[in-house]
Amino acid sequence: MTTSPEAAAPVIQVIEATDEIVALDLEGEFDISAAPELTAYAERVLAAGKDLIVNLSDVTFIDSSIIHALFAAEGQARKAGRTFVLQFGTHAAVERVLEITGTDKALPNAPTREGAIGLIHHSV
Amino acid sequence: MTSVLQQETYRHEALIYAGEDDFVAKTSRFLRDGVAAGEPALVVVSARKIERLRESLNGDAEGVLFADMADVGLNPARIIPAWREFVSAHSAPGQRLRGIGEPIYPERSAVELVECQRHEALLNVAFQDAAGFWLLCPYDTEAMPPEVIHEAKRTHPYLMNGDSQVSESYYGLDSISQPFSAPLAEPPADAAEVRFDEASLAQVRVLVRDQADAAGFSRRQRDDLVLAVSELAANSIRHGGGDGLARVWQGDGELVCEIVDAGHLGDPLAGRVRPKTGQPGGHGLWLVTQLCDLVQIRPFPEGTTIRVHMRRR
Repeated sequence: MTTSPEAAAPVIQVIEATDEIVALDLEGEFDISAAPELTAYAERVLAAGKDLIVNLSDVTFIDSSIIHALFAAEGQARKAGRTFVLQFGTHAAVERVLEITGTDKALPNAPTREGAIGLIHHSV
Repeated sequence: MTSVLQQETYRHEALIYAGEDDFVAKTSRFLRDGVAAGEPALVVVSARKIERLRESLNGDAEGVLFADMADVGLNPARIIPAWREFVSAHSAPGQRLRGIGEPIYPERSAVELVECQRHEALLNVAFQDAAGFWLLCPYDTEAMPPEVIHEAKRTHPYLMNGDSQVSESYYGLDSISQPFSAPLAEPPADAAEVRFDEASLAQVRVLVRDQADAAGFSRRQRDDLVLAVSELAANSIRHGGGDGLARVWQGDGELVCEIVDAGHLGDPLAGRVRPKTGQPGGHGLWLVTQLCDLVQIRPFPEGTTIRVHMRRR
């Protein structure tokens, strides 16, 4: 089956936010088929000894398997002695999933890159 | 017959009454007895009946909480989590609790009524270990047809008729724990549909999004429905054989979506238990139940159909 133009394919960009912090900038729709890739990217960042920002600002859809991947990444960051911060706050459909699952209360988060970096510096 | 009831057991009891005045008289007595015994109570009925009960209790409602069934139980699959919250909030050794819940009233549609009856049956499974919880479910013989009253006697192990009595026609836990097999109406022949697997899951969302836009749904409702159906399709990929069929059609003031796959749902309470934040799994059907107005889960010999309804608001 071909992909319709209305379905935004998931893209992950790796950005070195500072010497110590790597941001994964996500774009498009993230569902169960994209969850393993997100987990693999997060593991690579943490294995390199960096703090991790997962940025959902340009994501238009997430499902519960992505929520699970985010909690897994946060748990691994903690085990590695690093900090995990979620960046979001631009798309209502994404915020809704974070809210119903309690993720917005449970995981450290900020609406901007500066805010996310600030949270990481603050936690050190 | 009362002697068969141990005080500390879970009592799920149907109260058959005739008209609103009879409702107020019988439920007020039940609540006053609870207040006198220091037992917290939650009442989930219509706004109108809450008003009548407050008047009747006339200040004697200490420890009695009220909630509007139209808010809590629009989707009847959300009622068990509400009772769960009440029971857990007050759980203590020896603590007895009372509840009154009336999910079945004349305004319910035919499909809602069936899901409400399933909800009533599942209350027996959900709280079988909730010792000391006494839940009374009123049924109005003046407002509901005799079949509904008969079914109430099958979904409740006890009946209140002056005293508590054992209901001779109660289904029993074994029967209730089986998958629910009430028939579903055939989908219309012109329903939009798409087959999906992991690689084409996004197409399910495209289908639902297009149909919701065409039906004039708000963005919020459209996104909620897209998420719910995508969660169901993801469940097919995870647990239902890896692929499935999605169908969407317009009903009367609503959009109906269904996912058919080769999976089997073992847990009769699936979607009715709030998952712990961050727990792996268990979120999919919970989200579906929270987002949709009605959820119908039906097994067939080779798989499962899950149908969801969203009313245009």
